[in-house]
Amino acid sequence: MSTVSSQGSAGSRSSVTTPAPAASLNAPPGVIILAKAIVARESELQGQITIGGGTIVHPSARILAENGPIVIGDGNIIEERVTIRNVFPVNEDGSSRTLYIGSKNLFETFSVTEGNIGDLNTISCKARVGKATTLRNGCVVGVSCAVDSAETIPDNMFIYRNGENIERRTSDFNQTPPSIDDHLEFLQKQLPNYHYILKTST
Amino acid sequence: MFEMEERFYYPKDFVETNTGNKVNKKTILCGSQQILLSGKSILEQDSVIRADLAAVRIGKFFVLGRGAVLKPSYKTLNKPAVNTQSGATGLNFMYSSMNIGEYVFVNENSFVQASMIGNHVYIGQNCVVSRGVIIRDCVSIADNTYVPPDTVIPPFAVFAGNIGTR
Repeated sequence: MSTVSSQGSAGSRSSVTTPAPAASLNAPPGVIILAKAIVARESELQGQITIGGGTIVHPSARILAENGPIVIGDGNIIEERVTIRNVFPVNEDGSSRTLYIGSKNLFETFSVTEGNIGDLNTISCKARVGKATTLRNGCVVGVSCAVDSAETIPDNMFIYRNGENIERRTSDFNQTPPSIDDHLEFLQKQLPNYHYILKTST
Repeated sequence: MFEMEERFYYPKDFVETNTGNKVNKKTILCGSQQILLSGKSILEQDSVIRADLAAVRIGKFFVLGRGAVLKPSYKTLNKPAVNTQSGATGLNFMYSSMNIGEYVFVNENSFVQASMIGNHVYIGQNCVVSRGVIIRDCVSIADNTYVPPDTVIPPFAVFAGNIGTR
């Protein structure tokens, strides 16, 4: 273990869960990372995944293409401890369904996404989008709300928790939902300073 | 305040520093140069501290439960800021450093993005403390509470519920 300075700071280790820093920075097999996407090496990527340009995947995010491929659009922010899983049931002839995630979505910590998602959505902390649900654009799934119903949630819906119930209402975004571009730009500069970033596919 | 019960642990799972911090080997400490642990703290398995985004200063006797996430708060500004820390200029967006007092206990699987936490604070399991929240001293936040962004929790308050109220 590396030595610790006398101030009591936590020492000069970065994240501890992975093998030695000499480990490869190539994307795991089956993962395609498009230009300018920042995917931390300490994230967990499994299966056939395409990550769009400018998307940021924080360390300890988990993208698991278990039952089929996952295609993630541009400019998403996938924070730590997020789970994005393809658990669509495999068809009888063996073919699988792809999970499509649109662009500029914000996946906050601890959220779980298993259904298709459009653009500019926000999946808040500990929220859950089940595999039967499809979100269109501009939706906000509130903190610790679970949406599991087999339906397509239309554009610009707020799904929020009111006591024990989970309710929804149309949001009053005038034209477009608030953008995460500034957040993206900050992370694109900051994350490579502290993390090993997987190489983009050529 | 809430007393933590005695627990036995395997010393081989933890790294113990000379100021008495016990850090589990399976924690995820990002930006560890910017984490300041004052001493005698415990960071449990699978916990995450995101000090790569901004500095995280933690007082003595801090306990971060299993799977809990500590992340600095961010804010969107009206006009672009000069962020000397990362050298990024001209952005309307910045993460600011997180200050945590002494004797703070963050329980399992909680997500804490408060900008400031006072002393003797107890945060229960599965809580979500959003960005910009200011928690003063001797506050206890019950399990499964959601504290919405920019809340200021006064001293000695007990917060519960989703949405959290006193």
